[in-house]
Amino acid sequence: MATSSERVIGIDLGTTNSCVAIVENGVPTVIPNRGGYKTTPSMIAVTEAGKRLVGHIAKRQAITNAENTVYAAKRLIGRKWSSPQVRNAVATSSYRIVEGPHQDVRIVLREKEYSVAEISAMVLQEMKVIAEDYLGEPVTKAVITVPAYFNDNQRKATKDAGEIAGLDVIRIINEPTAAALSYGYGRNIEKIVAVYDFGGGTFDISILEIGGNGVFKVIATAGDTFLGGEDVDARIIDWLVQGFREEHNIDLRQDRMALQRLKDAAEKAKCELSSVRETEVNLPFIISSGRNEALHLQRSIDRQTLEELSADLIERTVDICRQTLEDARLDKDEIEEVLLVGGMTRTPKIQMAVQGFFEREPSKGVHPDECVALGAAVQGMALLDQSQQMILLDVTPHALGIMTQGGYFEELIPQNTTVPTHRQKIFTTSRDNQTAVKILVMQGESERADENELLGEFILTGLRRAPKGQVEIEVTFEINADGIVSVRAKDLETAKEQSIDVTASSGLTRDEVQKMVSSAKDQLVERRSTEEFEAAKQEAERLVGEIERLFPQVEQIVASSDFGRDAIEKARAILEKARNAVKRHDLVAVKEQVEGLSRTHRMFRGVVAKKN
Amino acid sequence: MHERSTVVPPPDLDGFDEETQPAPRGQEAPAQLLPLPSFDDDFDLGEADVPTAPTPPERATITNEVEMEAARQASEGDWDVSLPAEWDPRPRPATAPPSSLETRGNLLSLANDRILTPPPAMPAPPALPTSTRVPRAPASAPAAAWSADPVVEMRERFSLGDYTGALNVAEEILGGGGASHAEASACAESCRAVLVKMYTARMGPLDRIPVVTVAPAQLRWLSIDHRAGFVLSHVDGSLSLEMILDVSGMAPLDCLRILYELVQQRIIAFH
Repeated sequence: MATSSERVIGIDLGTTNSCVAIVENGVPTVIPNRGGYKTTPSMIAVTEAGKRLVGHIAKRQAITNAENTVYAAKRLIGRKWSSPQVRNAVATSSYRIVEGPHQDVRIVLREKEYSVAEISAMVLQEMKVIAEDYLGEPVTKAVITVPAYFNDNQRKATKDAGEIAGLDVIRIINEPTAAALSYGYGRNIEKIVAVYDFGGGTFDISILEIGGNGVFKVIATAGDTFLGGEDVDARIIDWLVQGFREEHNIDLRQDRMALQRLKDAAEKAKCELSSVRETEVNLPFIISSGRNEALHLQRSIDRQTLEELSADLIERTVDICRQTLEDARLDKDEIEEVLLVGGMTRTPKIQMAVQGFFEREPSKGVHPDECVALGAAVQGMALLDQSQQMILLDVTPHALGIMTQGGYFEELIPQNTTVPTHRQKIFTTSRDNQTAVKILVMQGESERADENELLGEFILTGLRRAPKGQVEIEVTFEINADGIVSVRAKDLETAKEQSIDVTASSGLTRDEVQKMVSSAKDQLVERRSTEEFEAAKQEAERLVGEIERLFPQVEQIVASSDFGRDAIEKARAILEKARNAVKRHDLVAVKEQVEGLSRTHRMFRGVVAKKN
Repeated sequence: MHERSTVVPPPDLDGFDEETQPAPRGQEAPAQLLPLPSFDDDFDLGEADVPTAPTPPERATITNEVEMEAARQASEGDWDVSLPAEWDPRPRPATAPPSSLETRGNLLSLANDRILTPPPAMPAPPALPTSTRVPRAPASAPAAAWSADPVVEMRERFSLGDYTGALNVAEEILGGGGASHAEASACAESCRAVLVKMYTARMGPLDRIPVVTVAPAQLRWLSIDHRAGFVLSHVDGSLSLEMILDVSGMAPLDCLRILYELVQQRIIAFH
């Protein structure tokens, strides 16, 4: 638990963009990155020279260095190699995804394998650095958000990513919960709200019940992990490519540089069309005609065209909303508030579609890009300050139960049950003379066991031979405060029992995580040292330039005296030492020489000023 | 076309020149490439300019872009006199440039064409059968000045400090079915390293942030290709040269070349 002197940051670790926030003097605030942007692309790249790029700079080379740029790692985190989402990603991603040693997923960048948690850790480390630069002090504690549908393994992997990044993740919370927290901060609300989250790479709809006691229950959640603003960008790119082909008979897709520029321009145009009715895409020298002549792309796009291009994508989100309400057996009029989250919800057409479906105007009370991080920061503050009235409870994100005969899932602990908790249920044998039962511990909401996540299994043997249904076995599920699930099966007649502790697995061993933590620490130290060196080098170079500029004048003034010649020689030596220190990349020496250079500079200026 | 009989030797290579004098014609070329010379002493703090004062030509040497630019600087008096006294430093338009600027443009393009001036004392080797040569970027020297064996030519060019030429030949060898040619691969790598250092030295500190000096509406009238257009699209006043190198996705040498050209054409500048 955080102590009162510590700060806790809230991190929205998004599929396409991430955001970091903190509560300062009671006000939740998003922290801008060095470029002044409040969100940072969740992208990692490794250049040909082996340099690691994170955020905007990685995004700007995402197409020209596609094989070595990771985007949407969140779709893979905590998933098994065999999962359909991973198979889909393997087929569609430009970077190489391979199987890890524990049936987990690894990503290959420049011939080096990284776990997905490591990749996410690089993004989290960037968010940590942004917060530290802003606050001017180290930050170690964080609340990180995840989609409501994330299972325990995905949450554990996210937590591991935080640890690798040097963060103590004191709580993982659901993104819609965070958005609702941000919305409800400072208000006493008891409502059922829908959180329509249309981000860059994913779409999620969640229905939450905000209780007066500080409990945020996710009643229903659904979405599409392969539907987002990037699909809209792709439509604009198609439209531009098609137009250019008609005009010049050249396919811009064949040129990576052209495609990179198209991608950037399409995203920019999409954003602009949320506030203006028409915008121009102007890309001079987009491609060579092959006759040693560069061609330009210049085309206007209006909002109506964008709406036509993206109409089916918007309709898909509405269909998912409809299905989610049906599944939750909720009527539209039971939804008391609709929150819009994600950059895409700035699009007027989407706002109209949401309003049309829910038959109510969406709330303007939350910032679509920032509310999730802000909610996480609010949660962090509440954990930090026990005097806060808001009581935040850990709940099970998914139901827990066992597989029964016929491949069905028998739920013991329902979704959203507050922890710690325990539940029991009695089962019987399903065959005559059955002497053993296999307990398959599962997590999920589907009635079909094979559609849920298998967490573990064990066998209880030595049962009395008897006709089916006569031997009773008591199964107990227990979740302690640390989230560890224990499952026990007991033959009620013989009191013989067998049990298993189920802990979520991120796909990484403790040793692996520890190694990654050390490696990330080294990387951070290296980065900090480089930055410090660059700053010192710039200062040294500035002073060297100034001294060199004054040198001829000073030489002329003091040349006649022995003392002067001596000073000139000393100044030369300092310049030489400074150059050598820079060349050696010796931070300590450069810093020392900066002092000497400053003294020399002051002296030179004094000499010149005196003469004048 | 300007006749250029005097060009500066590759920068800071006095000692190196002696070490790497080409074997006299007819003698066996060295079996191994000489190690990459160390340029460290000359490339710190962005001060590693090639000599700016004209250097007496001990012998004619091969030049490349950077060397050529150095030569241009060294011999500014030769051609700058043709420029008007009030020379307009604005970027050169693609159409109807003033004749004086054309002069400058010609010189720059000469530099880009990798001028080669063969040593005057060198006897002309027999003409190469065209079938043995792979077409490549126009070399300014007659192809006949070089050995028919591309490996020998590569070595010779390298030893003469014509790193661009040596790189071209090495790339031809590697691309023409000799992808596993270890010597060509090593030579290409060495040439690129030297050229990157040269360009870096010419550009100055890579942490500087370039800005576009041309009005957006005027951009399309520039005489640049789509690769330069791509690099130019990254010049937004926030990315440093180093970042542009990182995000360009190009080989560092290619990107540096383009950035250097953009600076030379005054399309980009530094605050």
